[in-house]
Amino acid sequence: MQDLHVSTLPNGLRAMVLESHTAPVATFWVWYRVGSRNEPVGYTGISHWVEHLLFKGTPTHPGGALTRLIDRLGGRWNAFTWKDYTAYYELLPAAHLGTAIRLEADRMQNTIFDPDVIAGERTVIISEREGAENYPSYYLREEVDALAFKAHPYRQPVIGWKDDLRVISRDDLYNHYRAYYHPSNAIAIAVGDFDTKVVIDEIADAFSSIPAGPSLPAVRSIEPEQSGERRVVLRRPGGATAYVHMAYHVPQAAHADLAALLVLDGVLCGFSGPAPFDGGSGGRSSRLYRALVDGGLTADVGSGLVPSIDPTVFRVSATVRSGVDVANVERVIDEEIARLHERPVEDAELASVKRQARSQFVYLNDGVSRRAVTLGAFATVASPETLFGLGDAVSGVTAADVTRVAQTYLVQKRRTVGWYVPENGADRREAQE
Amino acid sequence: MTEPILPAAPFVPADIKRASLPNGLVCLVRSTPGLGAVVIHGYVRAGAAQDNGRSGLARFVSSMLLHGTARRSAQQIAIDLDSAGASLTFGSGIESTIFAGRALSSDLPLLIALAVESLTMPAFPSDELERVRGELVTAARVSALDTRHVAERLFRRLAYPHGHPHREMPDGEESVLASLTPRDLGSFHRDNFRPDGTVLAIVGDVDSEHAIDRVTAAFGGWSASGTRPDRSSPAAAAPPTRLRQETALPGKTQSDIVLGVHGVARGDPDYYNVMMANLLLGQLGLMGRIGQNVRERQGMAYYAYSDLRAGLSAGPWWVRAGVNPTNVERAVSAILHEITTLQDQGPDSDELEDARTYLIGSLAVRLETSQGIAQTLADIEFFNLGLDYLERYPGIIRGINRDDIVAAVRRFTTDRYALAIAGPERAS
Repeated sequence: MQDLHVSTLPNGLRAMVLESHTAPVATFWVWYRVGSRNEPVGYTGISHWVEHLLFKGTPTHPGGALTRLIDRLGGRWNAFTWKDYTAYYELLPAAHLGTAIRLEADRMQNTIFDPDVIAGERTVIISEREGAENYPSYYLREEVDALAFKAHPYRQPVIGWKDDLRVISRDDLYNHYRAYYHPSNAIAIAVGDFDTKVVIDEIADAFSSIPAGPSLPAVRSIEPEQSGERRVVLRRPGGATAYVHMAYHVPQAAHADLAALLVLDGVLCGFSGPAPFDGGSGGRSSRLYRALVDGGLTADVGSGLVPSIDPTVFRVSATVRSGVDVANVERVIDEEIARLHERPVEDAELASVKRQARSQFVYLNDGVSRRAVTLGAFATVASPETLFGLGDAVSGVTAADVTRVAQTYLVQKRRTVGWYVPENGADRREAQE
Repeated sequence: MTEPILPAAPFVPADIKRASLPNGLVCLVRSTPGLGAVVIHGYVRAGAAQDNGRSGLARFVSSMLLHGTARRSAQQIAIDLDSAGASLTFGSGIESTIFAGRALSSDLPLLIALAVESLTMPAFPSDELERVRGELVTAARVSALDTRHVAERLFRRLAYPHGHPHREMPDGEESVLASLTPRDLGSFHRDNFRPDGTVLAIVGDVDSEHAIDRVTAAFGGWSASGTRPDRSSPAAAAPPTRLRQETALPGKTQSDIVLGVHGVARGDPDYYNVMMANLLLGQLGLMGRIGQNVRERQGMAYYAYSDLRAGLSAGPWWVRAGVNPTNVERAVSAILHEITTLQDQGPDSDELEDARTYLIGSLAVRLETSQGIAQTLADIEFFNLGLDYLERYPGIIRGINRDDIVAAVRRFTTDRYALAIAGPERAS
């Protein structure tokens, strides 16, 4: 990404533009530094709800006009909300990127907050939450997050607590939008088959007239250091098998240990890749896969962290095989982590993880979307330079670094352990084994 | 409103190198220099349609392909892939086993070697087989309490007769997965994994001729006796009336709905009309007319969309939605209302033009990544569409008119359909 052009408009909007001529397409993203991290108690889910409302129209493009605008061009658009950010994107034939840029500028400031539309969306979002509630693994993750953080808003689910969703008002939503949706709290990213200069001008034309906006409410909470293991055993019907979910406190994305933690993740379950929420590929030769899946104890296993603005958690989670005692799974994970504390990783193992990392960085360049999402996430939670330096930083990680971060962060007193144990019908099935 | 500028076809036949091996395997290569990486995507015509009453057999076979071959142990395959930072996966659908992989360009030989070993000489070692069985049985139990999965399973049982390939989920039944033997898997592989009908697409930073040579050297020796058995699906009678079934599962909050009919095959002369009708009904914009009604106007669901499963045979054409249990009847009424309205009134002219320009414009977007190109190439070959397909596509779409769509949407009969619901216990 050495050809990335970075600029800042007078109103504070940061623009990052990268030409890519491998396919006749382009993508435009706007990342707002707002998510569940910014939500006060009683208002959880409000960032995600505002995200939904940005699809409802503006005076220039009321109702379904926004989606028609993109559909008619053969484009694809969507958005997602996370703890640290809310991101909107369009992917379309390259000649039409200007339409996406103007659309995003329009809805940054002119979204209509119609009370009837908001009432309808309340039940849509509750339905989104209820869909997730059908999966016990969702409940378990929610429980673990709420326990792992006692002060910091990372404890809150992005979708929000259901009772908050029932009472958040139109004015609450509008005020949240007004507080966070402005150029000085946003990053615009364009990647695609275009001329950089043209796109920079289009971004300036579309966004320059929008006022910078007010200063942001501070997120003051700092999670106190954890000094004792926390545990939750979730028992409810609805699941067929047990799940285990562990969360260890680790530093924020801008911390120097990020690269070593990513390599540690690679040793445990395969290198996940720099794109957020990317599972990476393979990992069947990794330590936890061999011990748990090859060992016949779990049906899958995963580990990793989402690079974050504030200190976050490194997760290890697994679906326990039917009939296997969840305590056994936890014991084996503990043994593997103890091995990491006690002995340096083998040279061949480290080389394999670094090769996986190098490959993942090459794969980033396929298409335009993966680069845009990865750049946007890093620029929002840390800096573009954190991403640019990550390849070299990973290459420079030593076996001693991996041991050190394992000893520092993957320790019992810094973790939360959650089990889901099925109730009712599933127990009967297990008894037949 | 911006006027659409229709892009030229993202690639033309001259960009694609196609080779048909004497054993019937077809390889397609698109060279995209500069990326440093390569992807593969392919199909073998062996899927759950060949399970022959043992639902899950094809899936078990595909799940075992990376677990040991005549040349490499499962562990060695895992090490070889990971140490190259490469991936290779196998999955099974109703009509095919799907394989997909990615590697740095310099590791294309490894990817091809692992693909040929997995596809043509799997060893089905018994220790690995027991491990995979445990994973599959656990997955089957998880699925049996997954409302979306259960609703689809119920729908298939209602809509298709015994023995029909679309009656069963490719995932398989726990009782079958628990009982299959290495011999069963070996027999299935021997009978169904054949080079004729197999498609392999390669896209990336590779020389086309060189890639074809490698594939020819690797796969050229793969042989199968006799001719490929006729795999055409038996014609199945549509549901004779409104069939409905509901299952209650413990610990659930939302009800998932599947309401559908028999669709059309990819090769059906009416395919494009039905595809367009489906787009208008439940996909375009925010899930089409059904999304507009169920989600946007009534706020009942996070998801409510229609989907057409058109393969070598006619799969289902269904509407799926997840709603609060108290809203099931209202959602079903809204879905049926949108279908009958489109049948009675046809699409608006603006709506039809939006759909046309969407489909034509979105070609470029679908081909954003190497993976997207590889899958498209493999599909073009699998469904025998011709390498000029993308050039012809805009003309095909332009040729669909309002009456064609009205006729197509009338195939979604609102007096004869299957409706399946899975969710929490509901008050009757």
